[in-house]
Amino acid sequence: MIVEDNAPRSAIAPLVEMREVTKQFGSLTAVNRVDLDIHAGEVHAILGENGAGKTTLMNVLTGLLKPDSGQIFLDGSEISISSPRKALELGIGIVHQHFRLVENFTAAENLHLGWNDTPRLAGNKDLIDRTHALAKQFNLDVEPNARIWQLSVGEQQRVAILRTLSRGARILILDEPTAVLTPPEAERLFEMLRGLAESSNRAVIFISHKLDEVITASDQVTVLRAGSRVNTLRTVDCNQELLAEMMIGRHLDTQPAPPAKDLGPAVLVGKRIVVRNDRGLPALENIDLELRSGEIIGVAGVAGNGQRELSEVLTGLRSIDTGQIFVGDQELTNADPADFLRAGIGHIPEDRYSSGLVSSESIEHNAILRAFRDPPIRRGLFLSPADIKNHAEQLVNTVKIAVRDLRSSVRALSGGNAQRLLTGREIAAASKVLVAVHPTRGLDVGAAEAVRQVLLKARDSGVGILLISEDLSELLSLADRIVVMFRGRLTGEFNKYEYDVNTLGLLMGGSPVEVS
Amino acid sequence: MELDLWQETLLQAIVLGTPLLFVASGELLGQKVGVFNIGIEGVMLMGAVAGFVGMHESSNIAIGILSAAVFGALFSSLFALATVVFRANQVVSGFGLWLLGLGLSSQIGRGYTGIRASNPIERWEIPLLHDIPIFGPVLFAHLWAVYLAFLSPLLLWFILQRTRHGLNIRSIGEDPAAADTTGVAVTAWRFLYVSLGGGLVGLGGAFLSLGTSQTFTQFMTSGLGWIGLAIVMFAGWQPLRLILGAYLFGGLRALDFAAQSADWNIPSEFLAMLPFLGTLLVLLVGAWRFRNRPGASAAPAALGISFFRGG
Repeated sequence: MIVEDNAPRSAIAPLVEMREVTKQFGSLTAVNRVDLDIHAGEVHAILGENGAGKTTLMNVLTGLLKPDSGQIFLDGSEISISSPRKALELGIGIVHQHFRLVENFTAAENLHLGWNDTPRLAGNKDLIDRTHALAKQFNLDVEPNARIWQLSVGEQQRVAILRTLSRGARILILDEPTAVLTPPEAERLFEMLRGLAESSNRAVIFISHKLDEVITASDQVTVLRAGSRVNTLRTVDCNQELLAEMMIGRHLDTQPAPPAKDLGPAVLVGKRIVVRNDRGLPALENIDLELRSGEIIGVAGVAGNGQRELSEVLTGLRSIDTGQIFVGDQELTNADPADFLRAGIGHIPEDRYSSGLVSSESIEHNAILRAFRDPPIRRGLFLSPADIKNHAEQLVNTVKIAVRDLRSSVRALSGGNAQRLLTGREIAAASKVLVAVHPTRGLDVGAAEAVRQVLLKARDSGVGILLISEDLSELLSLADRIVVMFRGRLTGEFNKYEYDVNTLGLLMGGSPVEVS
Repeated sequence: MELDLWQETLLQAIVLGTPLLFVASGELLGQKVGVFNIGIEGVMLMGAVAGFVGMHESSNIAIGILSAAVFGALFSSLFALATVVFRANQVVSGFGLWLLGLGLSSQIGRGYTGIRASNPIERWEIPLLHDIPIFGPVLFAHLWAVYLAFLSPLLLWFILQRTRHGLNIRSIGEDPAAADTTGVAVTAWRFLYVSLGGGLVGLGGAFLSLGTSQTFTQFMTSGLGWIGLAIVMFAGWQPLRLILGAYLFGGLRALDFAAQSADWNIPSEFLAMLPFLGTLLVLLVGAWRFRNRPGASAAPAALGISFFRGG
């Protein structure tokens, strides 16, 4: 017999309560009098567009930022979370979107850093043994002795999640946890989160702008818009349309993009490319690839299967061991990145802040990175300030972002606007080919759609686009052909409308599939 | 016991490498938490004068050594205050510290120049080990501070590589934001270890005024602090390699003495230049090793960068 639990949620004392929390940055109110109740045993989604205040709110809860006003209660008593250390002591742990792992440290070192459970005396071997044990306990595939800079973003995330889980947080916060995961991985993650929440006294909060995962993975959802809370609902009472409306205030266009019309000649050809990764292990094995003018090839796959190496090889950032690369008729095997640029290849890299933009520089200087070597910006030995300004203004207008001061730091832009700037700049440079890696990762629905439209427009004007993405729905919508990468090999190729999601998912997971 | 020329040269290499080992250990400690102190030459001079004055006023060598360490640490805490707490530029502040140390140590030491140390650092011959043929007299018949210097990188290695606390403080030098996220007190530890590092540097100075020279003279460190910086790079920021680096540079300095006693026909100025030439080579080799990874080096990744929470 099933006994229905009729007690309304609000009757149970929440584990965490945030009351009228406000946080301002200068004149911008990032979080405006937000209330939030988190109950033990629930998975609570915080839904909102970029700049809606989701991350700021969570940074207040984890002690990274001090609220300007408002109260926070834990188990009914008011607390002051003065620092991340304090938050950890209270059992509030977060996995950030940028994982805040130490690049030069191994996974094992990162896991044990700043942790009181680490034995006072612990050599490298002790740390590695403990990491193996923890990875097994939480069923996460982590290589203890690999340094973070050698890992893909997806692998890095596993380290970060394992770190926070290991510390036994009662409230586990994840900032856009699935942004780098494939659907099966995301499923596994949410299963694990569900298990954690249901074990006594734990709550999971995840920040997201993906409607489908909020629907499938959460019990409660709080929608934020422009720093204010729109509503908190039981997820069973919601559907995607309702949430989308609350989040952005308009309906979504979810139609797949029309396929490519006229395919031109091959613009980018890779022949039997073999590459080793930073650890000296094979990363790409006999990759054959032909990208034609006016098409989008989607590369599907779980992070860490060679996508990063592929994008680096095709933009000249990494030299290859054997094989050949042609752009148009020109052979560019192991040429400089500058040669690839001159040949008309644009690149939207995986991590926009570390390799796409110079975050300490101004918007203006970031805008001209691909153009400053040539006239009109370059005048002999000098750069022309007026032409720099013109160029930057044009770019900012083309990608439609509001900028008060072109000389302000590019860090002042939101994630979505920074990505638009980068996309616009690279498309302008990409006369033949654009290599785009996760171009919409971390963007809200509106900003992602804008970037996709720009990609389609570039394709229709004859640019060949290699789109590396872990967002399968994005690939299904945009790509004219999809190839799957697994362990450095291309394991499947499908034309538009000829693939189904299950087959792709199986190939991404490495299962052998009969391709008819 | 009479030592032959090579034994004498090796002995000198260790003696001359000892202040470098103190200085480089102190500098490494600060750099491991991300603070680049180029002013250690000044700290060293302060240690030299504080050690001498402390010993002279108390007629007690222990008090002399202690005051060198304490004043080295206090003097460096000025630098830590500027760079860690107020986040001033580390290079500019380091130059300031150097010049301040030059002037202040001369001023304090004015009344003490020309005085012989009444209670200098004593020589300890280690029983049994000292009797080992050939190497015994070279390795085990030193001023006791030589053994102390040898222990300091071992201690650093143990703390940094074998303890939880060491892992935490290394992370401060690599990525203070990540350290902060996990609850490591970035500012407090930076302040403490830059100061403690200054204490070690101060001992390096006192080794000169109380050990080898046994008197305080103005500017007596004559560039050893700068060589200490190079040894940290030579060691690739690994504590145990400091030992090799310091004695190697000590050996370069010892060649000058060897040449004089053996009447080699090499100009003394050329030999005196060798440690500095070596410094230059260290920098070149350091850059060459990482030519394939732009922006990478063996240095702590956040070395020289101030930490702002949320920045």
